[in-house]
Amino acid sequence: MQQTSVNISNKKCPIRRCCVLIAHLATSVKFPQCRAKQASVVARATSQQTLFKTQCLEAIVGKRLRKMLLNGKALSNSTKIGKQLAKDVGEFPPMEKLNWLIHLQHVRGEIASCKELINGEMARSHGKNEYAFFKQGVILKSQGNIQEALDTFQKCLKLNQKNANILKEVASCLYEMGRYRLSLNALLEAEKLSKNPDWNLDDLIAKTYVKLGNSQKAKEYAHKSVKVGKQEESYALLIRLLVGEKDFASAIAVGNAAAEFCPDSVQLLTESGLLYLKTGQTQHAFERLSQALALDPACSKALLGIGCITHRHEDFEVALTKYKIAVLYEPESVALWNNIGLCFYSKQKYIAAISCLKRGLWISPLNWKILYNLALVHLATNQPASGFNFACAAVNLRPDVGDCFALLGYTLFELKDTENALRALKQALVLMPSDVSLLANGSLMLELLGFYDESEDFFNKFKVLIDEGHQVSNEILSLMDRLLVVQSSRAAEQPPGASVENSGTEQMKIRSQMQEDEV
Amino acid sequence: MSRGELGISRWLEAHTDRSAGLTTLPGNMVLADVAGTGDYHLVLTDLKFNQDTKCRLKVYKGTLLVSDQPLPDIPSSVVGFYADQLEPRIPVVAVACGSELFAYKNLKPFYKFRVPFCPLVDEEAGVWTEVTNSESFGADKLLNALKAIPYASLSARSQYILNQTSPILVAELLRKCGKTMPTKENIITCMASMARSSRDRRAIACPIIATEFGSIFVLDPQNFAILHQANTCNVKATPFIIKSTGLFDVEFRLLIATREGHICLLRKGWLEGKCLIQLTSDIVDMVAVPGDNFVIVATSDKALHCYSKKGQRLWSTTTANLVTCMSLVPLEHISTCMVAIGLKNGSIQLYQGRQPVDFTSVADSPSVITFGQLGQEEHVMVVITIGGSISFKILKRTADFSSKVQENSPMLQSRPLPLPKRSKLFLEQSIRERKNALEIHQTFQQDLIRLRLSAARALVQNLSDQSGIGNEKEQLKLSAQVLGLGPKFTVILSLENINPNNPLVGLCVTFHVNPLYYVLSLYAAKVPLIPPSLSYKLETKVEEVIKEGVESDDLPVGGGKGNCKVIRVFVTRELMPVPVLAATINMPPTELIV
Repeated sequence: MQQTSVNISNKKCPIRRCCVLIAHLATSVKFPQCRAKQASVVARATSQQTLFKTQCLEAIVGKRLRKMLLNGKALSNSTKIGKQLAKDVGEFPPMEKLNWLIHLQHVRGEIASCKELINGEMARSHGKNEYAFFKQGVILKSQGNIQEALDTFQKCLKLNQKNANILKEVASCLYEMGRYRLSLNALLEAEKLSKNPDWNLDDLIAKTYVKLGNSQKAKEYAHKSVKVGKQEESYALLIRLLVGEKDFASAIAVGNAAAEFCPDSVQLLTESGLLYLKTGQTQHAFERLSQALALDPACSKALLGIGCITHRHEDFEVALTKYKIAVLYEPESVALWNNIGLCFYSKQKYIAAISCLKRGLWISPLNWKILYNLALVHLATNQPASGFNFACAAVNLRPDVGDCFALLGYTLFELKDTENALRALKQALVLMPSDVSLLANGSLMLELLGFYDESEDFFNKFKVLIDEGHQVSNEILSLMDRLLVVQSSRAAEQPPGASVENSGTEQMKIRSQMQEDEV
Repeated sequence: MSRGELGISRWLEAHTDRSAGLTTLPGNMVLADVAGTGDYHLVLTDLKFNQDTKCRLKVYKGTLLVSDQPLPDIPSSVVGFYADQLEPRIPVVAVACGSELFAYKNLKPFYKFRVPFCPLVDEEAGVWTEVTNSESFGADKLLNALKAIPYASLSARSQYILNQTSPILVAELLRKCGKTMPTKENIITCMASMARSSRDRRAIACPIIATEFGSIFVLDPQNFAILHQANTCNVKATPFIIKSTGLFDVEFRLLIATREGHICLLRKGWLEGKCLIQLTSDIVDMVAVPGDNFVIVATSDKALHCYSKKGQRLWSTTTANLVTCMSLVPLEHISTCMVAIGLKNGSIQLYQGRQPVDFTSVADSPSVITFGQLGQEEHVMVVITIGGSISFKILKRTADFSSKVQENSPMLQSRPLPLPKRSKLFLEQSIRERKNALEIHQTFQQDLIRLRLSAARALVQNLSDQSGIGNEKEQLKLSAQVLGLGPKFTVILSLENINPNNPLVGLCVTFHVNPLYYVLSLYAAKVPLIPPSLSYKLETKVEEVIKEGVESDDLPVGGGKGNCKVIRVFVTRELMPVPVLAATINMPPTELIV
């Protein structure tokens, strides 16, 4: 081994660094018994002949040096150029040398050291390292420093006009700042520059169009984005757009496609489940929501959906258990408290129902559905005075909903304010002329008040609707049969409270459903 | 969690050195049998970012540092692989620094490979050919020629020349290296190794290099010739992490995570990778689970995603904290492969599939985790933290990872709803309402109507009695000040133009008093132009007429007759019958000195 090092130095190796390497290798071997083996290992490593026996050390070194020079294609021309190139490499470190480190530190959240590194790299490259600028902008943006981020990206853009990614970042900064028109211009510019389809870009354009109120264009780009990327985000956007246009059939179709491509997305599954629910396809909705729940048992939206379906099937216990789990995860959901309240109401636990509904009202004091339901429950507990106040509030919030007026009419009837009760009833009839339970209740009320002709009039309208095939619960039908008997005999003796309540129950089911969809 | 049920940790804390002062990044630590004795050593690089200290390659035998050598540059990646079949089997450790790969065997450097240079842009190549051929290529001409080419695509030398301020320096540079073509280095960003023809643990493996400009090289382990070269993707993609599965000679798959958030796939024979997965946030780390061919990716939004080999997402979950690094934890004796995930808060979670099954912790955020054989012990986890400490944890042989059921929904369902109890008062009230609903309603309605009436009255009162208020529409504000104790007062009216843009013109002020009580020095006045945002002050002297027997009138205030001790002020616009503003000034009673 001693000899090896001497040999090398005598030969005057052209590449000094390689020479040092080998000298280092030769001198640092400490164990004499290893030497022979060492030499053979080295020999095999450097030559392609696998059966290379131990030869004289000089030969090995010679081969090794040749190999060193031939290393890499660029070096293969001549010894002289190789030498020059090696010098070039050492002298001018490339600008992008530490880009990988910048990125690593950034994604690992070591922001302080990353900034330091960026500053160092920026100084080294005389402020021309595009990537360092880019990362600086990204960091500033993530820290909420949008204006500074925008400035940085714009500087970056000056260095390279042709980079669509930078333009995209500029646009998203502008988007965050609410300057959608400028953002859109930048995005369209980026779209021109990028040769390959980019779902993210399309998604951004779609979002900007949404902000600018151009839903047609937004839909077009969202479609494009879905086609290119098949990403959860773009599916969600497209569904949202379609729902906004009330195009539920297409929305469901997109939801199905989304569920196929992102089978584990709880959000998309829930979304499409709720869409099915909205269009009344309970079976599909149940399937989707169950899938979502299998992935995330704590998804309160899906729990609410499932609860609603079981609720509608009058399986109150099951519905209640679902709501109970959901409410643990989302204690501030108005819809949940509303539905829990209705569950209790159906189980005739009125006090619990009032508690739940009042909690809902406390969370959202201007929710007319909660007010309406509270009025109903109060009617059920023979508290028409409180019921009147809630019904009145509901009417004030939604003077366009017939149900509210109907309920106001019933409470006024209970409070013996005949004149106003009839006015409310008439207003309700104007708003919803073909509501079966309203006609049934109205007929009964008029009968009790002694307006026999009008009562019969209502009854006939009701009959017409039944004949047309409107679905009504048996409760109402039997009630009306009894009314018919009474009308024919004119011996008006009917317990009014029960009937009002019954129709109320019917309406409440409608309510719980409406509440659901709003979520 | 399961740890609580087990009572004790599954890990033995073998050794922790908080003052090790190591800075190591993912991909820079390997466990390799570098001595060839079957006694595995820990090989790592210690990075130093300041200019004067060099990065070092360190080798630990057990917990002892046995070798420490300087490295020429900041290393980006370290791999260990067997290059030959010679006994004793000693692996090569390859360290990537810049565009060079240094191969070490027996802890000695023995080979240097340089990644082929990138071809120069045509324009730049043209310029430099001219420079090399002609003797008299001026510095100015060179600068101008280089400025025309996009800066980012230039070679480092040209960039350097462009950044020189003085032309003398440029000329000097030109003289020094003008005879050669510049080069454009292709920086190595990450590495991996891939078995060549057998799956054996000690099989010969090829190093794989990925570079800044997106090229992937598979090298021959013996002579470092390039066996295969490919591009990462058809779009711009900068490799960040590379993982391999399969055998080079049979069929292989390279998974390349890029800085742009894509995961690209490269298979045998492909010259260009295909983008398999697109992520919405930055990739922090990625592991390829062997066997199932799953890819588990940690992203910077605290999420873990698992993808099948076709790029379909199988599951995602969120982590409690930001992930800093990941490592495979293959446990052959129970034939599972877990994933260790280092979190920013210093805990290391062990995931089996999507379920976390165990956790252990270190002093601060882990920077690198490696799991494998160290010394004679088969299951050792070595963790180096960002703070620089190193800890060795040994997995107990008795460790049982059979999964436990987590708290399921029946338990949650049994919890009662968080409802408040109904108070006695509430019940009493509702009983009362049930009994007297009608009365309650009527009383309530009566009171409501009364309330409305008094509110309306108050409103009317307020409307007729404007004092010191402004007119929003006319952008005029009036305030009054009464000075003096009486019987002589001074009333100072201040008319302010609130409009910031337009002046007010053509206004008049009229005072209206009962002459029985007050005599004014000025009853009507024209107001000159009031410039925007400025005010005009108007002064009038008031004298109270003191008569006997009038005193008693002071008392009733706000009654039906109205208070006589007032001055009404009307601000009118010319030719308009309705006043722009009306105000009443309540005069204080005269404090007579008796």
